[in-house]
Amino acid sequence: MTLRRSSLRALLTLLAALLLAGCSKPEPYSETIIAFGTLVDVTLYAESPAKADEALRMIESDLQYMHETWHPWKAGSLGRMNLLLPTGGWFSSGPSLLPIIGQSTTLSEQSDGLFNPAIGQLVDLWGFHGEDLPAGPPPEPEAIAALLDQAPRMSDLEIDGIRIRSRNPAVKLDFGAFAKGYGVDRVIERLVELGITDAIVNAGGDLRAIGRHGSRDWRVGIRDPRGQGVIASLEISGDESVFTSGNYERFFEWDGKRYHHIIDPRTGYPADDVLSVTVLHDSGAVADAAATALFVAGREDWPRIAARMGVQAVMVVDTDGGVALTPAMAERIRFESEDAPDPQIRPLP
Amino acid sequence: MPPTSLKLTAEVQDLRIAWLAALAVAIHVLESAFPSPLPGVKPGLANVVVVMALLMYGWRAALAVAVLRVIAGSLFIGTFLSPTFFLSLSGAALALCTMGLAWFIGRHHLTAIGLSIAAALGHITGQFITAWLLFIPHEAIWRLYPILLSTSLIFGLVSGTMAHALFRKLKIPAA
Amino acid sequence: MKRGDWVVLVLATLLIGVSYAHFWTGRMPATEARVQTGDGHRHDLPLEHDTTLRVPGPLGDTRIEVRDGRARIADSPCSDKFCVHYGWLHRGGETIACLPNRVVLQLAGAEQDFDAINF
Repeated sequence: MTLRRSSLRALLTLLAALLLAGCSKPEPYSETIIAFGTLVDVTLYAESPAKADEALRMIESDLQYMHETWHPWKAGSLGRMNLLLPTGGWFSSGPSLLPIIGQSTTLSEQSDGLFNPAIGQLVDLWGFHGEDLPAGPPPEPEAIAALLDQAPRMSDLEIDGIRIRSRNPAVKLDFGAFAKGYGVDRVIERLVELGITDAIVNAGGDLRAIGRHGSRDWRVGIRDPRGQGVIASLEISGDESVFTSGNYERFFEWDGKRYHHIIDPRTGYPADDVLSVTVLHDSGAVADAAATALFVAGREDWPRIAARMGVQAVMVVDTDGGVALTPAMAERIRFESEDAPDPQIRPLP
Repeated sequence: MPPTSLKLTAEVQDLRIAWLAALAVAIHVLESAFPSPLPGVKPGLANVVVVMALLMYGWRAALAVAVLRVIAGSLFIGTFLSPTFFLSLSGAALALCTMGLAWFIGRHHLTAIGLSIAAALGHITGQFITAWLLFIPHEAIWRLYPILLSTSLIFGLVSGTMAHALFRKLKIPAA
Repeated sequence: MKRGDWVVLVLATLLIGVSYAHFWTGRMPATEARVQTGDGHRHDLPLEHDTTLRVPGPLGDTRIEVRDGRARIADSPCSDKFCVHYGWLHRGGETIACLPNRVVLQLAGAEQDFDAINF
């Protein structure tokens, strides 16, 4: 009897303890920072508001620094480099630029040049380099052809220690398709240094997350490129990045035709075979470069480039509204829209 | 058919179990006509008969009634080995577990009311786990769980109270 | 009813409470639209009341509309109108931002459906 009564009491105590343990979770802290010409949304779990504030302030100054350093034409490290590259002579690079140049060169080679940060002049010609959108008209075909003839690419750069030169005067670096991914990676590094294990960093729609959202995974909705709302969702945890390149992000219209910001380095015109490419990968930098490269590759060729770049999980929505998934993405994604598409599964070569 | 030499002798205990199982099957069949927001997931009214078997004749009788109820009941309504059958089976199994747990922890402090509630909650939980694992692996169905859990508490309370009143009238001493 | 019955009843009620807390708070529909402007002002609009709100930004006024439990940016002085083309937001956590005019519209509830929107 006494034994049974005490075991009942023990059971009740255990239950109460479980309930109380559930209540004392660390609170998430959220802040929106304006950087990279976009809004960077940071949510992180910290032990105290002071710790969270410290981390957020540090991220804010990191982002500000990266924005100034990597701006392609304003006074800053990259702006200075872009003035010196056409001379063809050797000069010392700003030290923070060498790693981003190194990683983007590797990724550019892996992508068969479809991701090409050396076409800054082409981006300028189209007018997509500024924060304001171009009003049109599109550039003259002759001007585009002249730039294509010079074929600027990352392998034109020669690096010796901290010194750098370009063998091709047409090289102008523009990390518009890469800085977000690379920057988000640096922010996550900083958070890990500060001992933060659960956070999500969303830079204007492209994001990397570590850990989990309390007792569940982070939930990410992917915008429907065919219309309104959310097409699908992903649950991510541990350390993963989700990057999308879409033709709806930056564009202008001229003579009833729409010109968007993802330029095919082979033609000099906006790539027009797909609406959006979503890439899930550990590294934000790789996901960012791959999303751009696969967008340019188009609906036939993208699996080959994905395999070369080492990305496994990809979703491609083409201009006819068709959805293609790699097997790795098909395992993870959940469609949310009412007219859920019937996705085609494309294994990688 | 050749005459068989096998002779089955039903003992008193067998007859009692058969009676209780028949009652449980009847309730099971009646219950199948109830509408439910998740097809096949039911409050498990028949568990009250299992509770009665437990209180009157002990643990083995309860197990026998529960198994007979699920198999015979599904044969009656024609759902044997269908999804509904597995839902009933898992419901009955977990109801037996929760009821058994309550029984072994505090049998001297319990009446049919407590046992019915334990059985009812176990029943609905077992069905939900099966429905989720085998039929609708979408977390959205768990939104219905709190509602059905509340309903099953009320059903368990009502059927338990009825069983308790019956016991008092029949003056059957609790085992 | 004996003491044990009461214990079972209390445990059952607790279980039901926990199940509501666990399965229902996670997926509550959005209850309000949060509008944040570049000058740091925040306006919370309950989604039950149909309304429109004009918020100022560097380019002019952005018009936010709340109707039938949904919200959208109905009109914006920005040039790309990305925010207007997004359409209605109706789920917790859905967010749309108009960068040029520094306006952010977000739906929030007890808990959000999405922690981030990828585009």
